[in-house]
Amino acid sequence: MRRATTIAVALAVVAAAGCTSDPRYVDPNDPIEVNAPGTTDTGEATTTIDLPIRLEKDTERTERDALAAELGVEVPYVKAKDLHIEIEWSLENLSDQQGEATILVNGATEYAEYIPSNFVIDPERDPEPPSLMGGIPMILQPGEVKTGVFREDQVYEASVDLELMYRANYNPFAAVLEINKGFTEIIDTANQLVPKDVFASMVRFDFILRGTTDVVMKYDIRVRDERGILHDKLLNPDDPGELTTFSPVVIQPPMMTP
Amino acid sequence: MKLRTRINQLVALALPMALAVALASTEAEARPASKGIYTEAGLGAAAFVGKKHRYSQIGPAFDLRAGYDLFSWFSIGLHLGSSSHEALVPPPPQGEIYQLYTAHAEGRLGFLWHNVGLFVNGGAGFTMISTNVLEKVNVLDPGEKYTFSMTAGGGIEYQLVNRHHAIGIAGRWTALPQFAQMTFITAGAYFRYTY
Repeated sequence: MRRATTIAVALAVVAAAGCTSDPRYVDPNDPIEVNAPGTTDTGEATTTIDLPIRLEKDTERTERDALAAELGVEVPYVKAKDLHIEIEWSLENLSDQQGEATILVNGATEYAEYIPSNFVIDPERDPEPPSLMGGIPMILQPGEVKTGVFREDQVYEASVDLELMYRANYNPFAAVLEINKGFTEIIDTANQLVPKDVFASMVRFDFILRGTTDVVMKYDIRVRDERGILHDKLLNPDDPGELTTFSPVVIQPPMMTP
Repeated sequence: MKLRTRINQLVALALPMALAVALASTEAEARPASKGIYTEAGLGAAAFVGKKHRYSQIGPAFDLRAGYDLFSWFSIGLHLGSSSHEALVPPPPQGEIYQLYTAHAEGRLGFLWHNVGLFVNGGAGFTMISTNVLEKVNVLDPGEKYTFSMTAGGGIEYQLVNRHHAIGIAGRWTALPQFAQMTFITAGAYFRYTY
Protein backbone atom coordinates (compact mmCIF):
# COMPACT_ATOMS: atom_id res chain seq x y z
CA MET A 1 0.00 0.00 0.00
CA ARG A 2 2.79 2.35 0.97
CA ARG A 3 4.56 1.57 -2.31
CA ALA A 4 1.51 2.34 -4.36
CA THR A 5 0.91 5.60 -2.49
CA THR A 6 4.48 6.77 -3.03
CA ILE A 7 4.34 6.04 -6.75
CA ALA A 8 0.92 7.68 -7.10
CA VAL A 9 2.07 10.84 -5.33
CA ALA A 10 5.18 11.04 -7.50
CA LEU A 11 3.14 10.70 -10.70
CA ALA A 12 0.59 13.24 -9.50
CA VAL A 13 3.28 15.85 -8.82
CA VAL A 14 4.63 15.60 -12.35
CA ALA A 15 1.16 15.47 -13.91
CA ALA A 16 0.03 18.56 -12.00
CA ALA A 17 3.07 20.47 -13.15
CA GLY A 18 2.13 19.79 -16.75
CA CYS A 19 -1.54 20.68 -16.48
CA THR A 20 -1.40 24.36 -15.62
CA SER A 21 -2.46 26.81 -18.30
CA ASP A 22 0.84 27.31 -20.01
CA PRO A 23 1.21 30.39 -22.21
CA ARG A 24 1.12 30.26 -25.99
CA TYR A 25 2.71 32.91 -28.14
CA VAL A 26 0.80 34.33 -31.07
CA ASP A 27 3.55 35.82 -33.19
CA PRO A 28 2.41 37.24 -36.54
CA ASN A 29 6.02 38.02 -37.49
CA ASP A 30 4.68 41.30 -38.79
CA PRO A 31 6.91 44.18 -37.70
CA ILE A 32 5.75 47.71 -38.49
CA GLU A 33 8.10 50.55 -39.32
CA VAL A 34 7.79 54.31 -39.61
CA ASN A 35 10.04 56.75 -41.45
CA ALA A 36 11.88 53.98 -43.26
CA PRO A 37 14.50 55.34 -45.70
CA GLY A 38 13.02 55.94 -49.13
CA THR A 39 9.45 56.18 -47.88
CA THR A 40 7.26 59.22 -47.31
CA ASP A 41 4.96 58.03 -44.57
CA THR A 42 3.47 60.36 -42.01
CA GLY A 43 5.38 58.94 -39.11
CA GLU A 44 2.51 56.62 -38.30
CA ALA A 45 1.96 52.96 -39.14
CA THR A 46 -0.80 50.57 -38.16
CA THR A 47 -1.42 46.85 -38.06
CA THR A 48 -4.20 44.59 -36.80
CA ILE A 49 -4.18 41.06 -35.48
CA ASP A 50 -7.12 38.80 -34.68
CA LEU A 51 -6.57 36.10 -32.11
CA PRO A 52 -6.75 32.64 -33.74
CA ILE A 53 -9.87 31.31 -32.02
CA ARG A 54 -11.07 27.86 -33.05
CA LEU A 55 -14.67 27.28 -34.09
CA GLU A 56 -17.21 26.96 -31.32
CA LYS A 57 -18.44 23.44 -30.58
CA ASP A 58 -22.15 22.70 -30.60
CA THR A 59 -22.10 21.80 -26.91
CA GLU A 60 -20.41 25.11 -26.08
CA ARG A 61 -22.98 26.98 -28.12
CA THR A 62 -25.83 25.19 -26.37
CA GLU A 63 -24.42 25.97 -22.93
CA ARG A 64 -23.85 29.58 -23.91
CA ASP A 65 -27.40 30.00 -25.20
CA ALA A 66 -28.77 28.49 -22.00
CA LEU A 67 -26.73 30.87 -19.88
CA ALA A 68 -27.80 33.84 -22.00
CA ALA A 69 -31.45 32.86 -21.53
CA GLU A 70 -30.92 32.52 -17.81
CA LEU A 71 -29.17 35.87 -17.38
CA GLY A 72 -31.11 37.77 -20.00
CA VAL A 73 -27.95 39.25 -21.49
CA GLU A 74 -25.60 38.44 -24.36
CA VAL A 75 -23.04 35.81 -23.39
CA PRO A 76 -19.90 35.86 -25.52
CA TYR A 77 -18.08 32.85 -26.90
CA VAL A 78 -14.72 34.28 -25.79
CA LYS A 79 -15.03 35.53 -22.24
CA ALA A 80 -12.48 37.68 -20.45
CA LYS A 81 -11.95 34.91 -17.91
CA ASP A 82 -11.10 32.42 -20.68
CA LEU A 83 -7.95 34.14 -21.91
CA HIS A 84 -5.20 35.85 -19.95
CA ILE A 85 -3.56 38.02 -22.55
CA GLU A 86 -0.28 39.89 -22.47
CA ILE A 87 1.25 41.89 -25.31
CA GLU A 88 5.03 41.95 -25.56
CA TRP A 89 6.73 44.49 -27.76
CA SER A 90 10.09 45.87 -28.80
CA LEU A 91 11.01 49.16 -30.40
CA GLU A 92 14.26 49.75 -32.25
CA ASN A 93 15.50 53.10 -33.44
CA LEU A 94 17.20 52.30 -36.74
CA SER A 95 18.36 55.86 -37.38
CA ASP A 96 21.49 57.62 -36.18
CA GLN A 97 19.46 60.31 -34.46
CA GLN A 98 17.58 60.41 -31.19
CA GLY A 99 13.86 59.93 -31.73
CA GLU A 100 10.55 59.60 -30.00
CA ALA A 101 8.11 56.74 -30.45
CA THR A 102 4.66 55.95 -29.12
CA ILE A 103 2.66 52.73 -29.20
CA LEU A 104 -1.13 52.87 -29.04
CA VAL A 105 -3.28 49.76 -28.74
CA ASN A 106 -6.99 49.53 -29.44
CA GLY A 107 -9.12 46.68 -30.68
CA ALA A 108 -12.32 44.77 -30.29
CA THR A 109 -14.25 42.16 -28.41
CA GLU A 110 -16.49 39.88 -30.43
CA TYR A 111 -19.22 42.49 -29.96
CA ALA A 112 -17.65 45.89 -30.28
CA GLU A 113 -14.66 47.64 -31.78
CA TYR A 114 -13.21 50.88 -30.47
CA ILE A 115 -11.63 53.38 -32.83
CA PRO A 116 -10.83 56.60 -30.93
CA SER A 117 -10.66 58.78 -34.04
CA ASN A 118 -14.36 58.06 -34.69
CA PHE A 119 -15.16 60.28 -31.72
CA VAL A 120 -13.55 63.30 -33.31
CA ILE A 121 -16.46 64.94 -35.11
CA ASP A 122 -14.97 68.42 -35.20
CA PRO A 123 -11.17 68.25 -35.22
CA GLU A 124 -10.93 71.79 -33.88
CA ARG A 125 -13.14 71.14 -30.88
CA ASP A 126 -13.06 67.44 -30.11
CA PRO A 127 -10.00 65.94 -28.50
CA GLU A 128 -9.37 62.35 -29.50
CA PRO A 129 -10.26 59.95 -26.69
CA PRO A 130 -7.39 57.96 -25.25
CA SER A 131 -6.39 54.56 -26.56
CA LEU A 132 -7.23 51.47 -24.56
CA MET A 133 -3.53 50.90 -23.88
CA GLY A 134 -0.27 52.71 -24.49
CA GLY A 135 0.05 56.32 -25.56
CA ILE A 136 3.17 57.12 -23.57
CA PRO A 137 5.97 58.65 -25.70
CA MET A 138 9.39 57.07 -25.31
CA ILE A 139 12.77 58.55 -26.16
CA LEU A 140 15.00 56.26 -28.20
CA GLN A 141 18.72 56.88 -28.62
CA PRO A 142 20.29 56.02 -32.00
CA GLY A 143 20.28 52.24 -32.37
CA GLU A 144 18.56 51.72 -29.04
CA VAL A 145 16.17 48.80 -28.49
CA LYS A 146 13.46 49.10 -25.87
CA THR A 147 11.22 46.22 -24.78
CA GLY A 148 8.09 46.14 -22.70
CA VAL A 149 4.73 44.51 -22.06
CA PHE A 150 1.11 45.35 -21.69
CA ARG A 151 0.36 43.11 -18.76
CA GLU A 152 -2.53 40.69 -18.35
CA ASP A 153 -4.33 43.06 -15.98
CA GLN A 154 -3.97 45.93 -18.46
CA VAL A 155 -5.50 43.87 -21.27
CA TYR A 156 -8.27 42.73 -18.93
CA GLU A 157 -8.91 46.37 -18.04
CA ALA A 158 -9.14 47.17 -21.76
CA SER A 159 -11.71 44.36 -22.21
CA VAL A 160 -13.81 45.74 -19.34
CA ASP A 161 -13.56 49.25 -20.82
CA LEU A 162 -14.88 47.94 -24.14
CA GLU A 163 -17.72 46.18 -22.37
CA LEU A 164 -18.63 49.39 -20.53
CA MET A 165 -18.71 51.32 -23.81
CA TYR A 166 -20.72 48.63 -25.59
CA ARG A 167 -23.12 47.39 -22.93
CA ALA A 168 -23.51 50.45 -20.72
CA ASN A 169 -22.89 53.30 -23.19
CA TYR A 170 -19.98 54.64 -21.18
CA ASN A 171 -18.21 57.68 -22.57
CA PRO A 172 -14.80 56.46 -23.80
CA PHE A 173 -13.00 59.04 -21.67
CA ALA A 174 -14.71 57.70 -18.56
CA ALA A 175 -14.26 54.09 -19.57
CA VAL A 176 -10.56 54.35 -20.41
CA LEU A 177 -9.32 56.87 -17.87
CA GLU A 178 -10.93 55.21 -14.86
CA ILE A 179 -9.79 51.88 -13.42
CA ASN A 180 -12.63 49.43 -13.95
CA LYS A 181 -11.00 46.02 -13.70
CA GLY A 182 -12.44 45.53 -10.22
CA PHE A 183 -16.03 45.62 -11.48
CA THR A 184 -17.93 42.49 -10.54
CA GLU A 185 -20.89 43.40 -12.71
CA ILE A 186 -22.18 45.93 -15.22
CA ILE A 187 -25.73 47.22 -15.49
CA ASP A 188 -26.43 47.38 -19.20
CA THR A 189 -28.67 49.79 -21.08
CA ALA A 190 -31.64 47.46 -20.66
CA ASN A 191 -31.08 47.57 -16.89
CA GLN A 192 -29.90 43.95 -16.84
CA LEU A 193 -27.09 42.79 -14.62
CA VAL A 194 -24.06 41.48 -16.53
CA PRO A 195 -21.81 39.49 -14.17
CA LYS A 196 -18.07 39.67 -14.75
CA ASP A 197 -18.00 35.98 -15.65
CA VAL A 198 -19.61 36.85 -18.95
CA PHE A 199 -17.56 39.93 -19.80
CA ALA A 200 -16.25 39.57 -23.33
CA SER A 201 -12.52 39.29 -23.99
CA MET A 202 -10.60 41.31 -26.53
CA VAL A 203 -10.09 39.20 -29.63
CA ARG A 204 -8.65 41.84 -31.94
CA PHE A 205 -5.78 44.26 -31.42
CA ASP A 206 -5.08 47.37 -33.49
CA PHE A 207 -1.57 48.73 -33.09
CA ILE A 208 -0.54 52.23 -34.01
CA LEU A 209 3.14 53.16 -34.02
CA ARG A 210 4.08 56.83 -34.12
CA GLY A 211 7.69 57.87 -34.43
CA THR A 212 9.87 60.81 -35.30
CA THR A 213 12.74 58.74 -36.68
CA ASP A 214 13.11 55.39 -38.44
CA VAL A 215 11.60 53.09 -35.80
CA VAL A 216 10.51 49.47 -36.11
CA MET A 217 8.12 47.76 -33.72
CA LYS A 218 7.86 44.00 -33.22
CA TYR A 219 5.28 42.35 -31.03
CA ASP A 220 3.71 39.09 -30.01
CA ILE A 221 0.70 38.20 -27.95
CA ARG A 222 1.12 35.83 -25.02
CA VAL A 223 -2.07 34.01 -24.11
CA ARG A 224 -2.83 31.70 -21.22
CA ASP A 225 -5.80 29.83 -22.58
CA GLU A 226 -7.97 28.47 -19.77
CA ARG A 227 -10.54 26.80 -22.02
CA GLY A 228 -8.44 25.60 -24.93
CA ILE A 229 -10.16 27.86 -27.45
CA LEU A 230 -7.06 28.98 -29.31
CA HIS A 231 -6.50 27.01 -32.51
CA ASP A 232 -3.85 24.31 -32.10
CA LYS A 233 -1.81 25.79 -34.93
CA LEU A 234 -2.56 29.39 -33.97
CA LEU A 235 -2.13 31.61 -37.03
CA ASN A 236 -1.26 28.68 -39.31
CA PRO A 237 -4.38 26.49 -39.51
CA ASP A 238 -4.60 23.95 -42.31
CA ASP A 239 -7.77 25.71 -43.45
CA PRO A 240 -8.56 29.37 -42.62
CA GLY A 241 -12.16 28.27 -42.14
CA GLU A 242 -11.09 26.57 -38.93
CA LEU A 243 -10.81 29.98 -37.30
CA THR A 244 -13.72 31.97 -35.93
CA THR A 245 -14.39 35.23 -37.72
CA PHE A 246 -15.96 37.88 -35.54
CA SER A 247 -17.85 40.89 -36.83
CA PRO A 248 -17.90 43.43 -34.05
CA VAL A 249 -19.83 46.66 -34.45
CA VAL A 250 -17.79 49.84 -34.37
CA ILE A 251 -18.69 51.93 -31.36
CA GLN A 252 -19.96 55.32 -32.53
CA PRO A 253 -20.47 58.61 -30.68
CA PRO A 254 -24.30 58.57 -30.91
CA MET A 255 -24.29 55.52 -28.70
CA MET A 256 -22.81 57.54 -25.86
CA THR A 257 -24.84 58.93 -23.00
CA PRO A 258 -24.59 62.74 -22.76
CA MET B 1 75.55 -13.15 0.21
CA LYS B 2 73.90 -13.64 3.52
CA LEU B 3 71.95 -10.41 3.11
CA ARG B 4 70.76 -11.43 -0.35
CA THR B 5 69.50 -14.74 1.00
CA ARG B 6 67.56 -12.90 3.71
CA ILE B 7 65.95 -10.59 1.12
CA ASN B 8 64.94 -13.55 -1.01
CA GLN B 9 63.34 -15.18 2.02
CA LEU B 10 61.40 -11.99 2.84
CA VAL B 11 60.16 -11.64 -0.73
CA ALA B 12 59.15 -15.26 -0.80
CA LEU B 13 57.13 -14.68 2.36
CA ALA B 14 55.65 -11.30 1.42
CA LEU B 15 54.42 -12.16 -2.07
CA PRO B 16 51.97 -14.88 -1.04
CA MET B 17 50.77 -12.68 1.81
CA ALA B 18 50.14 -9.71 -0.52
CA LEU B 19 48.38 -11.99 -2.96
CA ALA B 20 46.22 -13.40 -0.18
CA VAL B 21 45.26 -9.90 0.97
CA ALA B 22 44.41 -8.85 -2.60
CA LEU B 23 42.30 -11.93 -3.18
CA ALA B 24 40.55 -11.46 0.12
CA SER B 25 39.64 -7.88 -0.74
CA THR B 26 38.27 -8.69 -4.21
CA GLU B 27 36.15 -11.41 -2.76
CA ALA B 28 34.66 -9.05 -0.17
CA GLU B 29 30.89 -9.02 -0.48
CA ALA B 30 29.04 -5.92 -1.56
CA ARG B 31 27.19 -4.07 1.15
CA PRO B 32 23.71 -5.59 1.50
CA ALA B 33 21.23 -3.86 -0.78
CA SER B 34 17.55 -4.48 -1.27
CA LYS B 35 16.32 -5.76 -4.59
CA GLY B 36 12.84 -5.36 -5.98
CA ILE B 37 10.59 -2.37 -6.52
CA TYR B 38 12.44 0.92 -6.34
CA THR B 39 11.64 4.62 -6.45
CA GLU B 40 14.08 7.40 -7.04
CA ALA B 41 14.02 11.20 -6.89
CA GLY B 42 16.71 13.43 -8.30
CA LEU B 43 17.55 17.08 -8.61
CA GLY B 44 20.03 18.68 -10.96
CA ALA B 45 20.52 20.96 -13.91
CA ALA B 46 19.85 20.58 -17.61
CA ALA B 47 21.69 22.38 -20.39
CA PHE B 48 21.24 22.23 -24.13
CA VAL B 49 24.09 21.27 -26.40
CA GLY B 50 24.50 21.41 -30.13
CA LYS B 51 23.30 23.91 -32.69
CA LYS B 52 20.14 24.94 -30.86
CA HIS B 53 21.68 25.44 -27.44
CA ARG B 54 21.73 29.21 -27.81
CA TYR B 55 17.95 29.44 -27.66
CA SER B 56 17.63 28.04 -24.13
CA GLN B 57 19.26 28.86 -20.84
CA ILE B 58 20.51 26.18 -18.46
CA GLY B 59 17.81 25.34 -15.93
CA PRO B 60 16.84 23.19 -12.96
CA ALA B 61 15.83 19.59 -13.59
CA PHE B 62 13.74 17.24 -11.49
CA ASP B 63 13.47 13.47 -11.99
CA LEU B 64 11.32 10.71 -10.62
CA ARG B 65 11.87 7.04 -11.30
CA ALA B 66 10.05 3.89 -10.35
CA GLY B 67 10.66 0.36 -11.47
CA TYR B 68 11.70 -3.15 -10.63
CA ASP B 69 15.06 -4.86 -10.21
CA LEU B 70 14.81 -7.97 -12.34
CA PHE B 71 18.28 -8.96 -11.14
CA SER B 72 20.71 -7.31 -8.77
CA TRP B 73 22.45 -5.92 -11.85
CA PHE B 74 19.53 -5.09 -14.16
CA SER B 75 16.37 -3.04 -13.65
CA ILE B 76 13.54 -1.76 -15.76
CA GLY B 77 11.37 1.20 -14.95
CA LEU B 78 9.60 4.41 -15.80
CA HIS B 79 11.34 7.75 -15.71
CA LEU B 80 9.45 11.04 -15.45
CA GLY B 81 11.51 14.18 -15.73
CA SER B 82 11.00 17.89 -16.02
CA SER B 83 13.24 20.86 -16.53
CA SER B 84 12.68 24.61 -16.78
CA HIS B 85 14.51 26.90 -19.16
CA GLU B 86 14.49 30.54 -20.07
CA ALA B 87 13.91 30.97 -23.80
CA LEU B 88 16.63 33.07 -25.40
CA VAL B 89 14.77 34.04 -28.56
CA PRO B 90 15.05 37.44 -30.22
CA PRO B 91 12.66 39.76 -28.33
CA PRO B 92 9.78 39.93 -28.05
CA PRO B 93 9.18 37.84 -26.01
CA GLN B 94 11.87 38.30 -23.44
CA GLY B 95 12.58 36.45 -20.20
CA GLU B 96 9.96 33.79 -20.84
CA ILE B 97 10.27 30.37 -19.22
CA TYR B 98 9.24 27.04 -20.65
CA GLN B 99 9.26 23.50 -19.33
CA LEU B 100 10.09 20.14 -20.81
CA TYR B 101 8.32 17.05 -19.48
CA THR B 102 9.70 13.65 -20.37
CA ALA B 103 8.31 10.16 -19.84
CA HIS B 104 10.65 7.30 -20.69
CA ALA B 105 10.69 3.55 -20.33
CA GLU B 106 14.18 2.76 -19.09
CA GLY B 107 16.64 -0.03 -18.53
CA ARG B 108 19.52 0.14 -16.05
CA LEU B 109 22.62 -2.01 -15.90
CA GLY B 110 24.74 -1.73 -12.76
CA PHE B 111 27.19 -3.39 -10.43
CA LEU B 112 27.87 -2.83 -6.76
CA TRP B 113 31.40 -3.27 -5.49
CA HIS B 114 31.66 -2.94 -1.72
CA ASN B 115 29.41 0.02 -1.13
CA VAL B 116 29.99 1.81 -4.44
CA GLY B 117 28.14 1.04 -7.62
CA LEU B 118 28.47 2.02 -11.22
CA PHE B 119 25.60 2.01 -13.66
CA VAL B 120 24.54 2.92 -17.16
CA ASN B 121 20.98 3.45 -18.23
CA GLY B 122 19.03 4.27 -21.34
CA GLY B 123 15.50 4.57 -22.54
CA ALA B 124 12.99 5.98 -24.94
CA GLY B 125 9.63 7.65 -24.75
CA PHE B 126 8.25 11.07 -25.45
CA THR B 127 8.81 14.64 -24.38
CA MET B 128 6.33 17.50 -24.16
CA ILE B 129 7.18 21.18 -24.28
CA SER B 130 4.94 23.50 -22.31
CA THR B 131 4.81 26.46 -24.69
CA ASN B 132 5.42 27.29 -28.32
CA VAL B 133 7.95 30.01 -27.56
CA LEU B 134 10.65 28.23 -29.60
CA GLU B 135 8.44 28.33 -32.70
CA LYS B 136 9.89 31.77 -33.28
CA VAL B 137 13.30 30.28 -33.97
CA ASN B 138 11.95 27.33 -35.96
CA VAL B 139 12.73 24.74 -33.32
CA LEU B 140 9.03 23.88 -33.27
CA ASP B 141 6.58 23.63 -36.12
CA PRO B 142 3.15 25.26 -35.73
CA GLY B 143 1.11 23.29 -33.23
CA GLU B 144 3.98 20.96 -32.35
CA LYS B 145 4.10 19.99 -28.71
CA TYR B 146 5.38 16.41 -28.46
CA THR B 147 8.41 14.56 -29.71
CA PHE B 148 9.76 11.08 -29.54
CA SER B 149 12.82 11.19 -27.31
CA MET B 150 15.61 8.93 -26.21
CA THR B 151 18.12 9.10 -23.44
CA ALA B 152 21.36 7.48 -22.31
CA GLY B 153 23.46 8.08 -19.26
CA GLY B 154 25.24 6.70 -16.26
CA GLY B 155 26.46 7.45 -12.80
CA ILE B 156 27.96 6.42 -9.50
CA GLU B 157 25.88 5.15 -6.63
CA TYR B 158 26.71 4.83 -2.95
CA GLN B 159 24.84 2.17 -1.00
CA LEU B 160 24.06 3.42 2.49
CA VAL B 161 24.18 1.18 5.55
CA ASN B 162 20.43 0.86 5.45
CA ARG B 163 19.87 -1.75 2.74
CA HIS B 164 16.93 0.21 1.28
CA HIS B 165 18.74 3.49 0.75
CA ALA B 166 21.24 4.64 -1.84
CA ILE B 167 22.41 8.00 -3.07
CA GLY B 168 24.28 8.91 -6.19
CA ILE B 169 25.24 11.30 -8.91
CA ALA B 170 24.19 10.77 -12.49
CA GLY B 171 24.29 12.34 -15.89
CA ARG B 172 22.39 11.70 -19.07
CA TRP B 173 22.06 12.84 -22.63
CA THR B 174 18.63 13.26 -24.18
CA ALA B 175 17.75 13.75 -27.82
CA LEU B 176 14.54 15.34 -29.09
CA PRO B 177 14.55 14.48 -32.80
CA GLN B 178 11.29 16.20 -33.76
CA PHE B 179 12.24 19.44 -32.02
CA ALA B 180 14.81 20.31 -34.69
CA GLN B 181 17.21 17.67 -33.32
CA MET B 182 17.62 19.47 -30.01
CA THR B 183 19.71 17.65 -27.43
CA PHE B 184 20.38 18.36 -23.79
CA ILE B 185 22.45 16.96 -20.98
CA THR B 186 21.35 16.64 -17.40
CA ALA B 187 23.51 16.18 -14.32
CA GLY B 188 22.45 15.89 -10.73
CA ALA B 189 22.19 13.96 -7.51
CA TYR B 190 19.54 11.48 -6.50
CA PHE B 191 18.17 9.42 -3.68
CA ARG B 192 16.98 5.89 -4.34
CA TYR B 193 14.74 3.77 -2.19
CA THR B 194 14.43 0.06 -2.89
CA TYR B 195 11.61 -1.71 -1.09
